[in-house]
Amino acid sequence: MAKIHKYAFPSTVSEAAKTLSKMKDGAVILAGGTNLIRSIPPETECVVDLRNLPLRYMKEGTRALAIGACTTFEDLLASQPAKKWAGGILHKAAKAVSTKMVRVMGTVGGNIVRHYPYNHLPPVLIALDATATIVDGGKKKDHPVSDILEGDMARKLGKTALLTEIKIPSYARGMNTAFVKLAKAGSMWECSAIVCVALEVKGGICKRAAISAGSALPRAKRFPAAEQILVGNKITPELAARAGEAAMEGLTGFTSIQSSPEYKREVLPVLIRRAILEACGGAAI
Amino acid sequence: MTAKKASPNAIESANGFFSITAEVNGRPLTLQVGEGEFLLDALRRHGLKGAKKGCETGDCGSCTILVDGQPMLSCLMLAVQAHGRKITTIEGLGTPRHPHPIQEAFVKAGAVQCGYCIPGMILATKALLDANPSPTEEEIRYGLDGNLCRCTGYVKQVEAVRDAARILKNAKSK
Repeated sequence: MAKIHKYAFPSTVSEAAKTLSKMKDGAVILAGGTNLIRSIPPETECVVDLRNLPLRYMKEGTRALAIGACTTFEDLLASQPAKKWAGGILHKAAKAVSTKMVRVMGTVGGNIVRHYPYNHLPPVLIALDATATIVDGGKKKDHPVSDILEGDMARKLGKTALLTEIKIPSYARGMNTAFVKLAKAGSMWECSAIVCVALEVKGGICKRAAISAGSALPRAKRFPAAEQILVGNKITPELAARAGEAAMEGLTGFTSIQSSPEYKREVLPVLIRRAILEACGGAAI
Repeated sequence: MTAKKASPNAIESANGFFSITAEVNGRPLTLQVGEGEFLLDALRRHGLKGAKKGCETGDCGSCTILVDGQPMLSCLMLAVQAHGRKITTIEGLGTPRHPHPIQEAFVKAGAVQCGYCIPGMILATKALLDANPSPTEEEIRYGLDGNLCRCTGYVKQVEAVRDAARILKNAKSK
C-alpha cells in the first residue's frame, strides 16, 4: 500500500502543474479514481486530485468540440453535444460504461490516461481524429490521441504530465457512426471487443472513413487498409465484409480479455462489417 | 502531533494519518484517516458499518455511499478524498424507528432478503429519485445497474423503487 504523505487539490491547472513538477515521480494524478485507486504505485508520496480544476465542460466551437478532461461519463450522457456530434457516438460509449457509480466517478481524461485495453473512449476518440491538450513541465501542447496511448507520453501522463482537454475536429460533427461492444453482459466494463466506425457519406459514396477497435487489442487501433477499401465507393454488405477482412491482415497480439485471441481473430471482422453497415444505416447482418 | 496543513489546497499527513474534515450524515466531523486507507475502511472503522465490504474492486456496489449527493464507490476512494465533502451513508438516511420512505418501500415490497446489497441499493435509489422523481422501469434498472443482488431477480427492488417514487411524490405534493 502506498504511503501517501500529501493530498493536493489544486484549483488551477498551473498550480497542479507546479505541484507535479515539484514532486517529480512521487506524484499521481487523481481524477475519477476508478482505474487508479486500487493500483497506486507503492512509491507514491503525493496524490494530486483534480476535483477543483475547471475541467468539467463541453464547448462547441467552429473548429472543434472541446471536452474538459474531468468531464464524467454521466456528464456525457446529459450533454447535448455528446448526443449531436458524430451521430452521438460519445453518448453511446458513455452509456455502455459499466455501472452508474463508475459513470458518476469516471472521467474522459482518466479513460485515456489510465489506459486499459477495454476502456471505451480511446477507440471512439481515435476514430474521430481527436487531439489531447497536455501540460507537461509547464508547456501546453496538442497531441493526436492516437500518439499518446503508448510510448514516452503514455508513461508520463498521470504522473508528471496532465491531460486537460480533448478536442474533436468539426468535420467529425456530421459523420455517421457506430459503436459496437461485445461483452458477456452489457454492464461489464471488461469486454471482448469494441469497434467504432465513423463515415462521411455524400451522394451514396463514402468520402471519409475511420475504423478502430479496442479491447481485442492491447491498445486502441485504427485500420487504414480497411478504411481505404471504403473511401470512394458505395458501401455494400460485400464491401463492408472486405473491409473487415482487410483489417485483420497481418494483425497479431490479440488480448485474452473475456475471450480467447483465436475467437477475437474470428469475431473482429464480423463486428467491423456490422459496424460499417450500422453507421451507413443498413441493418446488421 | 496532529496532521498539518500544507497550503490552502493541500493537506499533509503526520504520524501516518491525515486529519480531514467532512460533513458526514449532516454533521461536521474531523476524522483521522490512514495515508493509504480506503474510504470504505475508514467509514467502517468510525462505526459506520452500513457501507458493506463486498468485492472491493468497484464491481458489486455494496459499498455505495453518496458523496455530495452522487452515488460513489467508497472502496474506490481514498479516505482522504472525503476532505471537504458531504458524505451520506445509510445511517444518515433513516433510523430504525423512523425509516426513510425508500427503506419502508423496500421492506414493504419484500425487496430485502439477505440484505447485504440493500444499503448501497437504497442510496443509489435516493440519488436516482433526487435526480428523476418519476423514473421508468428502464431508468430504474439503469440507475441501479451498479448494485448487484445475488438473492433476488431485482423484480422486487424495481417495484420498491416505483413505490418509493410514488410515496415521495405524494409527500411533496401535500
